[in-house]
Amino acid sequence: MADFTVQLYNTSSAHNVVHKQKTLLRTITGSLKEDTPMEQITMNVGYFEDYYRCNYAYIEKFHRFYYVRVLLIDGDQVRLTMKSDALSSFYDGYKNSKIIAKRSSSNCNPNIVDNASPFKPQPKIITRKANFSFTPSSSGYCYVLTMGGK
Amino acid sequence: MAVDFMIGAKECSLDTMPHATGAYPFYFPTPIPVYIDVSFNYSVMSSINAVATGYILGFTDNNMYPFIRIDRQDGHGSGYGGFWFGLGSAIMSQDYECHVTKYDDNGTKTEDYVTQGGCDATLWWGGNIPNGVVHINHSTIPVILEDNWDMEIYAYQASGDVQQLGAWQDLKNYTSINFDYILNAADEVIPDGHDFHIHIGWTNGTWTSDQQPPVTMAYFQGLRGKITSGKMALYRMSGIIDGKLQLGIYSNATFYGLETSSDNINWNEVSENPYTFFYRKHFNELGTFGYALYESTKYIPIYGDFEKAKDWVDDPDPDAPPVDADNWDDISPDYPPDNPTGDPDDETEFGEVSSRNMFSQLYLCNVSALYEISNDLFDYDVTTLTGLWDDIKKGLEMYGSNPMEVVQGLRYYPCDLSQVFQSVQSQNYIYFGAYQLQLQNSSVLKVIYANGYIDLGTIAIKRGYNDWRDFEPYTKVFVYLPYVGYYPLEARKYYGKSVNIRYYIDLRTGACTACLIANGVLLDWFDGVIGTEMPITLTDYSSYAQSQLNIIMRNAGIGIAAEGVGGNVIHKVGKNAITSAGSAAAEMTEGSAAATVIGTGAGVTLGAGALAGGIAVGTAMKTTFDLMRDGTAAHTKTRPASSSMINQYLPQYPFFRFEIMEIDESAYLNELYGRPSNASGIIGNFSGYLEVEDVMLICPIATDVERQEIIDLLKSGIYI
Repeated sequence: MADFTVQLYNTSSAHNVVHKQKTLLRTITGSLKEDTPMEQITMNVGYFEDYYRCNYAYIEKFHRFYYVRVLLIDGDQVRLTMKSDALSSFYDGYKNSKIIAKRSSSNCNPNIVDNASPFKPQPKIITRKANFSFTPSSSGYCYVLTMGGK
Repeated sequence: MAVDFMIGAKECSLDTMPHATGAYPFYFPTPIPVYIDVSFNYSVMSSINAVATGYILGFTDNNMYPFIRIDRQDGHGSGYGGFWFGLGSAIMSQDYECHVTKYDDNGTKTEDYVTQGGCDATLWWGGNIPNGVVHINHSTIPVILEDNWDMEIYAYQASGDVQQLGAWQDLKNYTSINFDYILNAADEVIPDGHDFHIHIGWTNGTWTSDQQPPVTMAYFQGLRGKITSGKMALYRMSGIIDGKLQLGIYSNATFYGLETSSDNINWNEVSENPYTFFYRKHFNELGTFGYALYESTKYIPIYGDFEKAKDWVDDPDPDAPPVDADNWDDISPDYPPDNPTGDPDDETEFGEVSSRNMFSQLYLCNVSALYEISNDLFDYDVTTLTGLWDDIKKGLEMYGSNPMEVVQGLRYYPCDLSQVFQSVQSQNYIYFGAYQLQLQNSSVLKVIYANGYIDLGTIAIKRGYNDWRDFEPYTKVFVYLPYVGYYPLEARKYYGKSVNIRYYIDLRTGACTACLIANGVLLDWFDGVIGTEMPITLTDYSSYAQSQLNIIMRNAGIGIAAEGVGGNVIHKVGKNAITSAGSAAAEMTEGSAAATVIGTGAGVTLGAGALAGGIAVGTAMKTTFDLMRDGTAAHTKTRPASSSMINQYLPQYPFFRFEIMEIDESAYLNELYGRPSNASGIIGNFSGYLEVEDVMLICPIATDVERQEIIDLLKSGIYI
């Protein structure tokens, strides 16, 4: 296989973040010496100063982002063990996939009970009184006399 | 796509226009004039040697479908020109006109040539050309080659078959020619009706005949059309007829298209009834053939025989459902029952009191009238020995009874009842039995019909959160109703509604029922006691006290019993109540109001909405004097209960109380964890946190392992 370019990054984003925040450390060129699956790549590169910050990579030829684990082999070489980040690599491919969302920040249904919400122990009491009422008084016909008779 | 001509708003290209093999949107029921707008601009074209192509824009049907066949010619040879315009082959010549017109630059028609008998087309009508095309011949329309000339075709026809044309030869060029075919599709009228589409596959049957079947093996899979009025039913023809299994059609309806298809792609008019839906494949094939009958679009019932189909179609009740149909289970949703639970009750109808006062009367009194009555009762001049008492004594001598005993009760209500009860009569006297007491300075309102209610007012109930927190158990709603009590309500019944509070009163007992009415519908009602009983001087005061303490609101309990010594039972309410023969005692139960025994004499039955039942008291009441003389003392035992007089101390206005569970929510909840969704969509339409319930993942270039990784992450939650 011909040489391919590897962009080495540092990312602070978690694995479940699609669009990761990343800082480019350096770009290296290399080639595979033997058959290797695209999801798992191990490659040895020459030593570089900030090797310890490298935890993420992008290989354009494979159209993939990778999580990187760096092993310092000896003073001259660094071994990069890379596992593909499918979530970030293929977003443009799967973003048109149909889903039923369970929870969402952007599209939520306020009428579904949210069991993740804790309650305060004491309820709030709100009283709303009517602006009408009985008006007991002694005026008017407010007594009823029941009589046997005609 | 190069646009060569338009049909209405439809852009058409000579190169891409396919041969029509299916339904087209031009439906023209009969008989109306048919107009289709076709503008055809044909500029200079080079010579072309090509196979002619035809464009069938119509359709084979019982109705008329105009179609246009555009015939490009390369100028070689003679013969046909322009275009082919076709209608049903049964079109009569007089129903068709071809006008060749010329317009000036202002769009004004200046010349109008009507082709003789519709030009050559008329020669083709009446079936001379099996495919029913109209051929406009250049030789009869010489002006066609000049600018600004148009051709307008007016077609009138009711029926006919348009059949598919085959390929034809000859192409010609036309230069600077505009053809406007005035066939206006906007005039089309598609009648209302029910579309139906039935798939008929296989059904079980036994083939017993080895008669030679038709050469062509075919089976009809689909039946479709539109029924515009009346009813239609299918029925299975018994047996196998000439190698065919058939369905018959019985109908009193008007059809708009009735077609069958063996492949649900190509459709043909149903030409015979009953129509065949099955052929056996081989002429000597015998035995039992497994086949299934199933239907797609509902509505059309299929019966096992003609008689059943006819009974339903001919039923004078147009709405009678075809419950006997073989496919009733499939089509029953199309025949919903008419409100099986009764008529709509969009607004509660309340009743009225129709009973009149016969042996006892109700008088609405004000304070001055009561003062006068009570003063007169004790009016006795000891010197002259005259006055009311003197009359009463005379009455006693005359009648041997005490007219004072007819005073049955006096109650106070927290409102002016003259505003509530309209069927009253003003008078300045009352009757003590037969004795008329004249009032000198006041008047009373005698109640004729005690029919009325107090409309206290209307209050709106609104949601606090407009989300799930507004409902139980997160929000609880209570209502306090004066003289009734404090009750829980189902919040969902009242949200967003204006609630009218209405009291119905029983003037004889003081009981009341408070109704909560929203949008005209009675939602809840609660019982109480609104009339405060006032002691009458000559009535049994102990009875009054007992009854007051025995008035049970909603926390009623033990009944009050008062027993006299020596068997003189005053009255006894409760589970051990003594009754007159044949009368039932009211059970004192939680939430019931006590039976308040007021009157004397036989048969005074107290019944009210608040009472579980009435007590008929047959035992004469004892007066206080008698009690004291007998040394009896009423004793009461009950737990404290409110009386209507005490209720006067409580709020006189209704109120609603909301007990709301408040969420102690983190400010980051939505950002980090989202909220319940259940929304459907594509992933790209969501942002922020997303946790997926289900996904149909489309991800072409990922490996299987990576696809599963994506799915797992989506279901556990991601951030976009």
